[in-house]
This record gives sequence, C-alpha cells and structure tokens, in this order.
Amino acid sequence: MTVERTNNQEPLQHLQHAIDHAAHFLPDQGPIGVFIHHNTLHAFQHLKFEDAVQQAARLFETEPFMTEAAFRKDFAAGRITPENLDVVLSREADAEILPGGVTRRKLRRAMLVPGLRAIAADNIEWLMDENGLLDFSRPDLDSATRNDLLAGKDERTAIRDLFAACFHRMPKSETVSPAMPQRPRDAVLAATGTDTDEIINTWLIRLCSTFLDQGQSYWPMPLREQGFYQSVCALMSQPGLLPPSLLSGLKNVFQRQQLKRMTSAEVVLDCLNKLDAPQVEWESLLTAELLSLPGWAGLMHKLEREPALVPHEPIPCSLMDFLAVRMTLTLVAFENVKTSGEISQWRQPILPAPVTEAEQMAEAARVFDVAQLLGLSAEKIQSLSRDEFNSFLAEINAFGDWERRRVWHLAYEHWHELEILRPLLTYRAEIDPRRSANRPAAQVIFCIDEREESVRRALEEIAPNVETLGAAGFFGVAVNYQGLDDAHGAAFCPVVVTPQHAIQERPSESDQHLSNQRQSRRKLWAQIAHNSFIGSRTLVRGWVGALGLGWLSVFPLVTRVLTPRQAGNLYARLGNLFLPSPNTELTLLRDDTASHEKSAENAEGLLLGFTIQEKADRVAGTLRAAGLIENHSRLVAIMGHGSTSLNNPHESAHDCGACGGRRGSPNARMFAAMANHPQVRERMSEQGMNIPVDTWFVGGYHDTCNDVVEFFDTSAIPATHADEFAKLAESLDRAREANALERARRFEAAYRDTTPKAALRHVEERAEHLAEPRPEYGHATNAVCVVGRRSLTRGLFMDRRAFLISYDPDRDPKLDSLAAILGAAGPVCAGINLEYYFSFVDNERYGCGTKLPHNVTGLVGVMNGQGSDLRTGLPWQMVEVHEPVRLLLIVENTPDNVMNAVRRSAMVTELVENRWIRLATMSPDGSLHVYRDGEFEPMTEIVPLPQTATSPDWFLGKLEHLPIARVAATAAHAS
Amino acid sequence: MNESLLLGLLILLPGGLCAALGFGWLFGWKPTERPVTRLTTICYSLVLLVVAAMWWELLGNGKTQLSAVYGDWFHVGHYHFPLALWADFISLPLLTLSALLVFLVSVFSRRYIHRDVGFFRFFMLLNLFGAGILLFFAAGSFDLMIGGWEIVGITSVLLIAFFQHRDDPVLSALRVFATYRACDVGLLTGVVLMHIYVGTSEFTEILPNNIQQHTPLLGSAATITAFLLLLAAMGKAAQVPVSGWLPRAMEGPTPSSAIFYGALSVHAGAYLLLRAQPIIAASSFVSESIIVIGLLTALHATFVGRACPDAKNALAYASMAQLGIIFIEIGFGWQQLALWHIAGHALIRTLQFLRAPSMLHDHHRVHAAAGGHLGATGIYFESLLPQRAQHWLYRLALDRGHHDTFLDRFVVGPVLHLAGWMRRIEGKWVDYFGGNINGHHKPLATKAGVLTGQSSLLQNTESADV
Repeated sequence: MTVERTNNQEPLQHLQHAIDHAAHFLPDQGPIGVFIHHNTLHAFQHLKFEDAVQQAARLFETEPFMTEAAFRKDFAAGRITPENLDVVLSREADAEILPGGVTRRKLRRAMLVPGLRAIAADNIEWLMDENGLLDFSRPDLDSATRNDLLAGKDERTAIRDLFAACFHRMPKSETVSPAMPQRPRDAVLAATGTDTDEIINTWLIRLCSTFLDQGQSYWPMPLREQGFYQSVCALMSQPGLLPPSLLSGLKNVFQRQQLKRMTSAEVVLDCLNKLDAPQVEWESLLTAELLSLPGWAGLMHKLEREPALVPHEPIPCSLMDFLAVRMTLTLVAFENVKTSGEISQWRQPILPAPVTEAEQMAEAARVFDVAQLLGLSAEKIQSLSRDEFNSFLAEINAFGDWERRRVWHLAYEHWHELEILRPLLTYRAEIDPRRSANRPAAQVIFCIDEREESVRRALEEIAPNVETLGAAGFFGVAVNYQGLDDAHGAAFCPVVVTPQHAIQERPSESDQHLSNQRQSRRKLWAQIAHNSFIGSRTLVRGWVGALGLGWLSVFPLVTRVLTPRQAGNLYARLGNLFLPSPNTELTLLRDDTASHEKSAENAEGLLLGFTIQEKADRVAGTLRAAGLIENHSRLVAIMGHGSTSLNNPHESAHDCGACGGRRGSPNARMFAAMANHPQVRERMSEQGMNIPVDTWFVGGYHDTCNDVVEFFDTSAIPATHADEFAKLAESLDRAREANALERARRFEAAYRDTTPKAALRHVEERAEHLAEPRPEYGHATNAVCVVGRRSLTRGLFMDRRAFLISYDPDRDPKLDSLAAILGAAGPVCAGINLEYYFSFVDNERYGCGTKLPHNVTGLVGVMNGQGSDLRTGLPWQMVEVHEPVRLLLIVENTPDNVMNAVRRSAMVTELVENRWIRLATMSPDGSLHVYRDGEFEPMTEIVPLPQTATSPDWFLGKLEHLPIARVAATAAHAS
Repeated sequence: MNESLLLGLLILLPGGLCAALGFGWLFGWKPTERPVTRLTTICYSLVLLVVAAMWWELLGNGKTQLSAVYGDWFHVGHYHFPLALWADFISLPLLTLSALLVFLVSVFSRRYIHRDVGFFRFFMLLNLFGAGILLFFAAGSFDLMIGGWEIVGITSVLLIAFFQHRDDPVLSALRVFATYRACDVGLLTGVVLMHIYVGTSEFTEILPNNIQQHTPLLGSAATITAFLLLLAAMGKAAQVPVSGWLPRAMEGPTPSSAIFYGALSVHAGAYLLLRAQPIIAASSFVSESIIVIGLLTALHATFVGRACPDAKNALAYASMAQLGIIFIEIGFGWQQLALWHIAGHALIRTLQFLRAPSMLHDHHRVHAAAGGHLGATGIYFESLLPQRAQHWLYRLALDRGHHDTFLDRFVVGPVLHLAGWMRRIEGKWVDYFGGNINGHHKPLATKAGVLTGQSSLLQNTESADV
C-alpha cells in the first residue's frame, strides 16, 4: 500500500514541479482591462541582459535585438558612429587571430562596417550570375586592402582564386547531429508534413476563449464553474456529433477518462506515460506544449495564481486542466495521423536535410567575404596551417548574426548615453543645484511619468516662478478606492503593494438626492445600452431593431466618423444634461480610538479611511522623499494623470503605472484633502515637517491623451488663495496647449507648424476618434530616468524622454528616501522600458503585432482576426516611434551611496547588476560616473550645449527624436 | 437632367478613380496618403451628389425608373452584351446606401489605416469595391450584374488577405474565394439559361413592365433559373450550408469587415433575389426554398452567435441571422419590407463594426453605470432545455454547426485527395516522357570554378568555364 502511494505521489510531485518550471516562461499579462507594464523576459532576469535576450530568443524563437539591417540604417543616418563601435569593441577581450597582425578586434570591426554582405544558400547563385560575386572584389575596400587582396593579379582571377582557396580550405562538412523532437507534433510534422497544431490550437482557442469569457457572449460555457478540464470533458464527450478527421475518436477518449473519474493531473500523467517520456524530459516537453499557445496558457496560469484579477466573473483556472485537455488532444491527433507509427515511439531523432551544394558554397563565401575585408589574398589563405585556418573560421563563426547585433546594440546605446550624459554634465557645471530660498508662486507635483516632462517644462516656461516636482503618481496614498460612479473598489497603488485601507467617494449630505437621481438614471441608461447591445445581436429583437431603429444609427455613424471631436463633446454634454453632478466628499477619516476595531473594517477586511497619524505619515513621507521639506509656496497642486481613448483595447496601458494601471485623480484628490487637514498639519509639525499655515493643497488631474486639466474641491479653496489659484489654473491651461503642440509634432496626421490651440483640438479629436489606432504614443519615448533635484534638468529640453523623480541628496543622509524611491520606481520604470524594448525588437512575437486586425475577446484580451492565440505585449502602433535602449537611470548622489541604496532591494540589485538598467550617478559635487560591470567609470567630457529660445522653436516641424537643448527663458531663471 | 449622364457618372467616377490610381501605381507613382484620401473623399462626395440628383429626377418627374443604354460591348452571333444601366425604387435606396457607406468608411479608414504599409493597396481596393458595388446595384441587365458581382467578390477576398504576411488571413481568404467561386457558378449558368430561354437578360425584357405583365420565364424554366440565382445569392449572403466563410472573413482590417460583412457585400445576394423577384415568384418551389434556407440560417446563426465570446465573430453571426430573416421576407415576396430591413441593418451593423475595437471601453462604462450587475445572459431559451441537450447544443455551437467540419471531411478532403493522386500520376507521366527537368541544372561549384582543374591557383591555368 505504502509502495503504491509513493509511486503515485512521486510522479505527481514531479509533474507539478515540471509544470511550475515550464509555466515560468509564459507571458505574465493579466486581463487587458488593467494593463500593467512588466519586463517581458521576467523569467530570465537572473541572467545578464545580453545573455538573457539570446537564451530567450532561442527558446521562444524570437529576435534578441533589432535586425542588422535596422542598425545599418541607423549607422548610415549617423545614429551610430564608428567611434561608438570602437568604444564597444575596445571593452571586450582582444587577441591576435592570424599571424601578421589580424586581431579579433580588427576582424569584428570589419565584419560590422563595412560588414558582411548578405550571402546565403538561396541567393548565392543569383549573386554569382547577376552581381559578379566572383568577378569583382567588394567595391567598398580601401586601396591598401585592395592591393593586398589582389596581390598583383588581375581582379577576376584573384577573386576566383580566393573563392576557390576558401572553398577548399573549408573542413569537410561534419555530419549535422539529428535533432530530437521536442513534442509529438514535431515528430508528426517531420514524418508526414501534417501539422497537428493547426487543429489542436483551433479547438483550444475556441475552448479557452469561451471558458475565460467575462460576459461578452450571450451563452456562457456550461459547467465551467467545475474547471476547464471537467467542462471540456463533458462537452467533448457528447455523442452523435461530427469531429474533425484529425480528432476522430476524441469523444471516446474523454468518455473513458470520465468513466474512470480521472483528475486532470492523472490525465496528464497518463498521457506522459503513453508517450513514454522519461521524467527528466517532462519539463521540456510541457514547456514546448505550453509555448505552442502561450497567450491563452499564460492567462490561465495568471488567473490561477491571482484569481482576483478577473474583471467580472470568477473562474476556476488551472494550468493542469489546460494541459490535460491539450495532451489529450495531442494524443488523439497523433493516433489519427496514420503514418506516424506507434505513439510510444515518437521520440525518434529527426534526420536533418543533407547539406546542399549551395549551403556549402555560402559557408565558404562568408570566409571569402571576410578575407576580402581583411585584404587576405588567395595565397595567404593557402599558406595558413590547418589549425590556423580552423581557428580563423571559428573566430568568424563566433561573431555570427546575434553577436554582431549585440555589439551593434551596445554601440546604439552608447550613442544614446553620450547624447544624454554629456549635456547633463555640461549643464550641471553651470548651475547651482540647491533649491532657491525665494518662495515660489506655486508648486506643482506631477507624476514621475516621462509624458509629464513636457507639461512641466511648458509650465515653467509660461510661469517661471512656479516650481515643479515629480513623485510616483499614487503620491504615497495606497488605497482601495471606490468613486461615486464605480461599481466596486479597486486598488490605486503600484501592483507590488496591497492596500490596507479603503476609501469611498460619497455625495455630500445636501446633494444626496442628486446622487440618487444620478445613480438611478445611470442604471436606466445601462439597462437600455446593455439590452440594445444584446438585442441587436439576437434574432427577433435584432429584427425589430433593424426595422424600427436601424436608420437612427445614421446619426451617430455620420457624426462620429466625420466630426469626432464635436460628436464627443455633444454626447458628453447630453450626458451632463441628463445626469446631475452632486458635490462629493471622501470618507478619509477614521477615528483614532476605533482604528483597529472590526467596525472600522469593510467587508474585504480593509480599514476604512486613515487615522490622523496615517495621514501625516503619508503626506510627510511623499513630500520628504521629493525634497519638499521647507519653503512651501502658498499654493501646492498635486496632479494625478490618466488617459482616455476609443478604438484602444490597450487603453489602460496609457494610465498611471504607479496607480496600478488606473487614473491617478483620486490619489491626488485624497493627498490634497489630507494635507489640508489642520490636525494632520499639527501632527506633521510635531514630527519636524513644518508646512506654513498659509499653504493650501489642491488636487488635480491631467489626461495625457486629450490634455484635459481639471481640479478637485475647488470650492474649498480659501478666498485668500483664489487669485493664486486662478493664476495657476490659467498657466496650466496654457501649458496643456503647449503640451498638445509638443505631442502633435510626433503625429504624422497632425499638420506641421500648427498653433497650440489647433494642436489641442487635434489631440482632443484623437481621444474621441473611433478610428484612431494611436490616441497617444504612450511611453514610446521613454529612455531615461533622472532621480535628483529638478535643477539638474530644469531649463533643459528632454523631449518627453525622461522619468523625472524629485529627490534631494542633501536631505537624505541615511539614504532611506533614495532606497524607497529606487525600490518602488526602479522596477516600475524598468518594467515599462523593457516591455517597450521587447515589443519593439520583435513586435510579432513579444508584442501583439499591428492593431488593425485585433478582435476583443471575452473582455480579457485581443486576438488577431477571427481566432488566434491571445496576443500579449504592446501593439506596433504604440511602439513604432520607440528607440529600443535600456533605461538610463541617473541618480544624484555619490556612487557609493547609490550602490548602498540599490543593494537594499534585491529586485533593483538584480536589475542593475545584470544590466537590465544602465546606471549613472551625478555626485553632489557635480562629477558624473557610469556603472560598467561593477565599476564606476568617471565621465568628464563637456560639450557645447545647443540653445533655443523656447521649446517650440526647437521641436516645431520635426518628427524625429531631438537632442537635449537649453531653453533660454527657463534656464536663465533657474540659474 | 440627363438620365444617362447621371447613371454614367455613378459608375465612371469611382471606376475612373480606381483606374487612375491603378495605372499610376503600375507606372511607378508612389503617392503619399493625403492625395489618395482627398481624391477618394471628393469622388464619393460627387457620387453622393449624383445620387441626390437621381432622386430628384425620379421623384420630381414622377418616373418609376431611370435607365440608359450605352450601346453594346460586343456581339457574338445572336448574342450581344448591352451596356445598360438602370435605377428604380429598389436599386436607388441601395445605391444611396452604398455611396454613403463607402464615403464614411473611406473617411474612417483615412485614420485607421494611416501609416500602414498597405495603405495605398487598401484604398485601391476600397475604390474598386465602390465601383463594383455601384455597378452591381445600377446594372440594367443580369449580364452586367455579373461584372459588379465579381468585382465585389475579388475585392472582398483580397481585403480578407490584407495582412498577407501571416498565414491565417491568406488561408481564410482562399476559403472564401473557393466558396464564392463555387456559388458564382449559379449566377453564371442562371444568366446563360436566361439567354437560352428568352434570348436576353436585360431587365426591360425579362422583368414585368408596362408592356408585359409577367416575366417571360415560366414553369420549369423559371424554377431552374431562379434556383441557380438562389445558389449564387446564398454564397454571397452566407446562407446555410455555405455560411462557414463569414466568420473567417473577419481576418481583414475592421473598416473592411464593416463595409463588406456588416453592410454592403453580404446584402448583394439579397438584392440579386429582390431583382429576380418576378422570376422567383413564378416558382413556388424556389420561393419556399428561400424561406426554408432563410429560416435555417437565422436559427443557425443566432444559435452559434450566442456562444461567440469575441467581438467580430459575434457580429458576423448577428449579421448572418438578419440575412436569414431578409431571405425569409424575400421568399414571402415582401419586397419593401426586405429593402427597409436591408437599409436599417446595414447602418446599424456598420456602426457596430466600427465601434468593435472600443468594446472594452464601452462595456466598462455600462458595467459601472449598472452598478456592477449586468444581469446574467443566456437564461431564457437555454433554461427551457434539459441539461444534456444544452451541453450537446453547446458543443455543436462551438463547432459552428459543423458546417466547416462537414465540408472539410466530405468535400475538401476527398477533392484534395483526388488532386494529390492526379499530381502523382502526372509526375509519373512527365518523368516517363521528358525526364527530370532539374537534371539539366549545372552544378554551382562548376559555375564557380572551384572544381579541381578549374582554378588558376590550383592548376595555374585560366578558368575554363566562362
């Protein structure tokens, strides 16, 4: 009995273990309604970036870097210089590889520029016939190399001889070792040409999409509350139906499993047994099976681990269930392909196709091409010993496609590094970084988001006496918040934080009746909208609707398509007429005495509101980290941000990452309300944070898509501050126009040289446009993160490319603030940056391809067309203007202090040490260091900084990324 | 105003634009986006004006139809191909609808397809489709209708395969193409039969009018002809059992899905039947067949559509269900009702298709407004059935009524099998007579001169192979 048990349990444990490992490689994206940016290769983060991307590329069959053609284009355009390449090569080990001074560095340099020609088995004959491959030397050789190469012979003879020499020196082709099939499908495909995935995936897509549906279909999948496997088993074992020919007999298999009452784990084990796969291979087999449909499997896995992520309907997800179905289908399909033999015999090596003549020629041609680049004549090649030639060949092969692209990529990043760091260093030498002792007219705290860089700069240009700061957009207020119009509460904080407090927006007492009216009318509208949505898709109601009301669609159709902005305004105005807007207040306060009693908790066990101490901690913590400890102005505005758009299933990806993919307006409003509370002020001053009595905080919201700026609780602003508020609001109104203008310069569809007002109309139209696939460019320009005083960047045109986190090194002797900032913002910014990197370098596989054929499915994601794997990552329209560089994190402190702060977070340490982030430090004394492989290397070079009168003078009429420039007006004021 | 001028402009404007773009492209013109969209907008604005003038002409002068004959295209023996256009109270509403929707979709696509590599291709095809659908609705004879019908078909296929770098769209397009071609045989032979029975396919002669009370096609002639037209209409309108292609057509970009499968192309089949109504009415068998097919389609589509969890497939089946009802209406001879239904349905469905990518945004708003409770769906009809039957039906719905599985197993499979067998036989024949063509290919190494004896380096002689 005991023996039997261990026999049974051990494989089960091993299976679970194998699945856990395999599942690690699945995409980590949840339902798309709340989009959280993360490192696409989170499973490889323990490796160095350069190795990780290549390992992942092998496993996922993806691209690790941009293509060589793309890099070459950048080289031709001056975006990569020869010096960049030399610097990168000089950092790697050199060696002499041929007698006579041919070094590895020289070889690699030549293989990059002028570079190998694209010679492959399928074009070599054409190159010979039409391009004179064997008649002329490369046209791009300098005369010395050419003379060495020809060695006095006529060109054609020399070249033909060289090719012949290379061809004959090539080692006789070793027999290529046969590959083992990863999974049964590979064996069937190799043996018969039939791809069993076609039918299996078609079915799994239909089954997964109906199973995970969150309310889009009218008829939910029966029995899905029992889990995926049980439900599929019950449905697919129905009698009297016609299966596709590759799946005939499936019904019987499922019926047998049902009869034996097998669990999904038993089914998977049974299938593995039938496949006769040894335990050591389970992991690779299951990985391969899962990666055949990674999107759906990934979502199943994600919802298994975090069931709370489902938007509407809880579903018992299990990757084991998914595998049970997948393996059952796999085995049935295998048996149905007649010629594929016994199921247990699938693990036969697949013989590779024999090496063709053209392939041999192309191999030789690569050496031939390199020999030309190095000026090696036929005689020289002939004279090499066998060992010399073979090691030469090994050197060439070691610098293959991916290796070359790795060096290209490092050079590409090096260019960017110089482009950012040199101007910052130059500018630092000119300024006094300390905060001015004069009291500014107002202070405005924005999110650290790089999209807010432009609006901050615009505000400073328009109102030079305003100070701006950057803090993570949840402003330290991690809550579960439920707005007046929200159905449920949701977490408004970074995903790594679990909120302990709940806050609700409630109508003020006098407006209770308005609120009731509003909610009942909204319910009525929802009933009508929902019923007409469903009705128009059903038979009888759809018929009545098309006959009676169909022609009415002509109005929304014509207005929405021809005049999207006006139509959007009109419908919004109608909504406002129909819905009364009550004044509201927040349930912020929790009685200090009752703070931990049950009565203060809501149904989910969250504390309702904050105590005075909790409020004081949050306000003071956020202000202290940002360095705003003294010299508060009379008016301090806190701006949350978010994004509104149509035609955009990825809408949430444009919202505030620090608020967990939601809009940061409630956080800003709560922060202001807490900071204005007299008792909170009192408590803060007891603890050393003295905010003047005449300082008033006001919360606001900036929409990064339509550039709307609005403020909350403005009626509470004291009359003494009304003028200042009006002035600030006016400045921000102009700043949002300027911001729209700067954003519009990137959009090809906006007219060049437009005015700020027209640009604002343009971005407003984008948000309301049913056809607009790029409502905004989101984080597409992210590349840099500056943690330090605003004075380092104030007055610099940073082109919306830098996350700006306010931090004062003089005020942080224990490095607590820095550690907190890096620990929270580091992974968020790196997650955004790396998701953009991967979605850009391989948009089809790491990203989700072009948006145009996307089809929203089950309210959880998008598919291509009528049915495909669930597409994860970012669409092309979001990333098309991105420059794939790793985040350049610049921290204002000494290298030692920065590393101390980094080491306090394991996650940040991993990101920095494995080079997923590029790190540089700006010491308080003004020196700059760049972190390279554990060492800090000083950078001293000062360059002349271009100057522009105003930002628009610098960017108007230009589509491309722009270098840093000094903006005269603000810069003068700052220094 | 001149009838023939108006009718001519209706076809010549979009046709001319398409031809101009096509020839320009052929001769190396690589336009930017703006001129292409401007020309398209101007073109369809003018088409809308022409349509308005046609309404004026028709209503203002109390006419029942506008018609024009521009001579014959060609003569072969007794046969001649008249270039006759025609607009009456059946076709003019559809012409108006087509002009309006192509106009709106072209404005929509200006932004939607912006910066896509296929931008120009898309607008070329959209213009070609516009010309095709207008020609189809304005044709004055069944012969000319075939022209419009085929243009609509081929543009539909090419736009489904718009994302040609992926396999799925191309395979789906091929499937749609095969379905269309198989069903088009009905239209072609139907028209040939008209010529055999009556000697012409012009509306003025084959349909009832002031001179003749009935269509000259009677009895079995009417039955066979009408049945063949029905076959063609079933293909375009995705009726059971050839409906499996409609969800596959969702591979294309959203605006083309809207105009083809929500609005115009799918209704072309219904118009064909409306046009041939007098012939159909002459055969009770065909009328009843239309009703039965329509009913089956409506039931099939509403049942499969209920289980679709994605935006575009659900819309495809919703369209199909209404098309089924439109067929029923036509079968009963309720022309006006069918026409009104087509117009209302086309408008509502176009809007829904264009809004489909915003579904998440819309659903979120409705869900929040409803206070988080949107009422369970699917509790009405399904709850009447026993559980086992529900499971059985759900499994059937998941496979979309077995349409494609049936075709794959019993039609496509055997045909491919036969084709494979024939290819093998052919290979043997060719081998027997001509030998292997590849056998004469010169080895590459010889060409490169690297075989021993060829290289000057190895033998110190000039290369023999020049």
